[in-house]
Amino acid sequence: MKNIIPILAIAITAAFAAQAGVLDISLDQSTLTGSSGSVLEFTGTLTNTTDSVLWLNGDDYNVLISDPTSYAFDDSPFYDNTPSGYLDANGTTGDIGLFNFTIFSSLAPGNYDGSFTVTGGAGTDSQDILGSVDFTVQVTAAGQQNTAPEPGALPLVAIGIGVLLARKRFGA
Amino acid sequence: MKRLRILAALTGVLLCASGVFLWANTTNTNQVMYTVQKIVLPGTTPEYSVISALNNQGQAAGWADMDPSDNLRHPYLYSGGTFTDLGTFGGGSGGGPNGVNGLNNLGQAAGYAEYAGAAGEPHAFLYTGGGLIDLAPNNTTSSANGINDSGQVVGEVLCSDNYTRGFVYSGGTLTVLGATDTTRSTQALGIDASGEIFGIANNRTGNSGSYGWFYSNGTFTNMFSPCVNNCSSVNAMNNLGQVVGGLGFGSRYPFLYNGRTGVMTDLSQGSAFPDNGGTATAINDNGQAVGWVNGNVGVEEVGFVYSGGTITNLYAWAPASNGDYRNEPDTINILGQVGGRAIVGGSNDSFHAYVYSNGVMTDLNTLIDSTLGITLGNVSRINDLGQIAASDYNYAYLLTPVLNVTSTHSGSFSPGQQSATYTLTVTNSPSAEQSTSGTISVTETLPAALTLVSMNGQGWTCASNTCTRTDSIGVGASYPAITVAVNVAGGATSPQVNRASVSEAGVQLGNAIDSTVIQALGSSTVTASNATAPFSTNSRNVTLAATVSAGGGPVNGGTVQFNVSGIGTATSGTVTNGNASASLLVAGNIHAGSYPINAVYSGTTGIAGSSDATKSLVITNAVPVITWANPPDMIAGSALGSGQLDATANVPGTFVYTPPAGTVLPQGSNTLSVVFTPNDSTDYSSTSATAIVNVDPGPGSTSGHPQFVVTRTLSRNASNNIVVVATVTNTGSQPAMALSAPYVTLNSCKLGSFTPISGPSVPGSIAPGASAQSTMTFPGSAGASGATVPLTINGSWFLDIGSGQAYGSDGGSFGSTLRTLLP
Repeated sequence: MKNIIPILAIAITAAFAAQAGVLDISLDQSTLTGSSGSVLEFTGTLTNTTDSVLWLNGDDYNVLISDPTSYAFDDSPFYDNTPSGYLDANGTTGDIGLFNFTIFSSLAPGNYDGSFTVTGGAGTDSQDILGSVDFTVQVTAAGQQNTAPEPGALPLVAIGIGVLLARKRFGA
Repeated sequence: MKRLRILAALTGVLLCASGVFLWANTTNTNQVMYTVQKIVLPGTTPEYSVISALNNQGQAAGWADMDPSDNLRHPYLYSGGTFTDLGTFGGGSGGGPNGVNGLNNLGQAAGYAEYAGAAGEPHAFLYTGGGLIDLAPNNTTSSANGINDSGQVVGEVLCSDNYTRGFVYSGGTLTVLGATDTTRSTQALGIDASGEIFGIANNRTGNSGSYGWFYSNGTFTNMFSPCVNNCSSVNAMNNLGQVVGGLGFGSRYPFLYNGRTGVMTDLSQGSAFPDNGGTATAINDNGQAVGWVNGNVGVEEVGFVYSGGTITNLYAWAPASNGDYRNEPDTINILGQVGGRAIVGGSNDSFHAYVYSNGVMTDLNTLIDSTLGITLGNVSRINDLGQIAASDYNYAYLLTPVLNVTSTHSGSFSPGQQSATYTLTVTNSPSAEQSTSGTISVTETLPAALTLVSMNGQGWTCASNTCTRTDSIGVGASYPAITVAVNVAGGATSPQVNRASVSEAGVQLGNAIDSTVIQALGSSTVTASNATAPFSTNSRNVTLAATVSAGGGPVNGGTVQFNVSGIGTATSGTVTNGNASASLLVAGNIHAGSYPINAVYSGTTGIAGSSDATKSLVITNAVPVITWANPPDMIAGSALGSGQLDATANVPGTFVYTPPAGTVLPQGSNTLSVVFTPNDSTDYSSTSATAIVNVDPGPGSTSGHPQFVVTRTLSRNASNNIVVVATVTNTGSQPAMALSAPYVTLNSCKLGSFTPISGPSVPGSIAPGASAQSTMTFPGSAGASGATVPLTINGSWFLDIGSGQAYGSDGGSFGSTLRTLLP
């Protein structure tokens, strides 16, 4: 069973933009925290900043983790959410899943920086770098929860606690 | 107007019948064609005046009484309405000989004036610069009789042997001509423009026994040799050395003697009375002469005009009561207008002055205002302008035509010039009393060196050398100008005088004298400038320029025409300060190349044209316009492609980029360049352009570390297996402490669900900005050709920072997934 990070992050309004490129990659959260067994789902928006169609032909990632067996990088959300393989001129994907990062037990707690890059270009065979975005995987020890929620998420936390208490009180 | 005059005349008759004669006398009945100026000193009541000379400036000279009480006869000059008493040398109180005999066109007068005292003898004078010069102060008696336009004066002085001798005064020096023989006195009567002199030789005691002589280059020639006694009278000489007079021995006749050839011509041949005596009184510079021949009783004198060997007889209008029937022409101008007197019938003395031209003899009294109350009885002079010196036998009158013609021209003409122009303008003088009436006719008289090409003017009907019209203009008005085009003979000398005359209702009136300098043209040099213009598909104007010089200086006047072979022609405005320029319209699509310019200068007054064909208009290759904006920033590791190498041009051609497509640029600012070679290399040149592209570093969180991006190419080998060549590019940077480039291995590669059957090979060390390749082969069953299959390549890297120690967290890992179209 995957330990999915609660979607409290959606309440965080700040976006994490990529470096300048023809494709703007904006992550909803650039840092996600998990522990062994966690699957961190990085979501965001891709925006074509050009007046031409951009073919999204591939992606690359880099993480400062020397042991590739201590994690799994799954970019299938990117492909699944861009089935046409292209973005219209000045078009956007909307908020979609881009990649999942799975933490294996061999990955020691700590912060791991990485980058996600989309390649493509004017044609279906183009392999130019269209845009990149940085992300950080924060690995905690097993059983250690996330650090205190972001201040902006506190109202939602309160609501969530309230609902849980209400359910318990009324036996729902 | 004519009807008004008829009505006025009829009214006058009716009023005379009614006894209102004075009123009738105050009504003019003539078409007034001359103004009349009475030659008297204003404010005096003189008894007489005489015009003895009239030049072509309208100046008259002679002698006149100034005051009836002293009977003093003074020489005078009338000029522009001003009457000038030339004075005497102090004498003249006895009414003695003071007067003017000659007047040249400079306003210089020659004559005689008395000294004061007992002697009271006249002395020859030259009036010039406002004063009298005594030409012979050492001689007791002298007289000046003629003057030419060079200011040379001739006359006679009484010498110590009591003989008079002819003299010539020139340049301040009086030279006595000497004696034709020792028994004769001589009088020099006239001098022409060439300095030739004519005169008369007399017995010392009188005029009997005279003969005419011609003096040239120090030699006297007796015109009538061998006759020496009672031979002739001589009256006038023109500027051609031709003398006229009357031969008084043997077969008596009026004669024309050519002093240059010695030929004597009997002018009575062809007249009404050949060889019956008579005299020629005047001759103009065309060799036309006038005079009269003696007739029989009842026909005393018949006038004649001699022109080109032909005699035209002039008769009186009607005989006098005593049967006398006389016509005496006295003067002829350059255009053949003749003035004289003729009997009109009635009493024996009833002469009327007339003017004769073109076969028409007109009583001058019908051409002046009839209310003036004068009867003109004689004409003594008519100048080349058509002004007339007339007399009523008491006073002299200067008659000036009210209808005049002027001739003007611009600058000088040159030998051989074609279509040089004169402008003739006919004006009804502000002094006229009436509008013009009847046919107006203008006649051109060109010298032999000028040939008429055409005459035309608005409203004029022109044929040959004459233009006519019948409409009337008012007082002070002018008719539209007439343009006269002439060709100048190649050998034309200077000056040439154009003359024109105007007539009204058949009466020749004013004349124009237009002396024209004929000047050989100076040479000019026109120097064109080379010109360039780039090729264009559109028409445009190109400025062409030239300089023009003559005599070492810049020229003003004339134009330069630029003839550009294969393109066209443009003409400059007036050359100013030696500079000329013109705008040439060059059509579009004229190919690049050199087009010769022939610059032709038209010439201007006194300056001949010239040309320069040494320069060219060069249509140069146009430079294509390259449009290439700086591309958007690239991210390190990206290869140059169509997103960057996208220059365009305004004409078809080929682009060659440096660096070429596929090149992975280093981080930072990179200059891209392109050389464009147009397809049309005839009209366009190759050109180049540059653009700047910035290559940004990789993602920030991993900056300072290596980062890798994977690209690939796929092919099938002979076994139909799929060969993947992965290019791993280090888009990151080198940590400062690292000694070696990151070492890269690939550890998990898939094509779809298939793993490699060989490879991947190890990329090895890849420095920042560098790439390395790895080859792997997948089974052909991984997918059919044309299928899209994901290619996944994963790898890891580590750094050696010395002694085999890895940097940071033992390096990093990376991966790449590509949508791959199978070959």
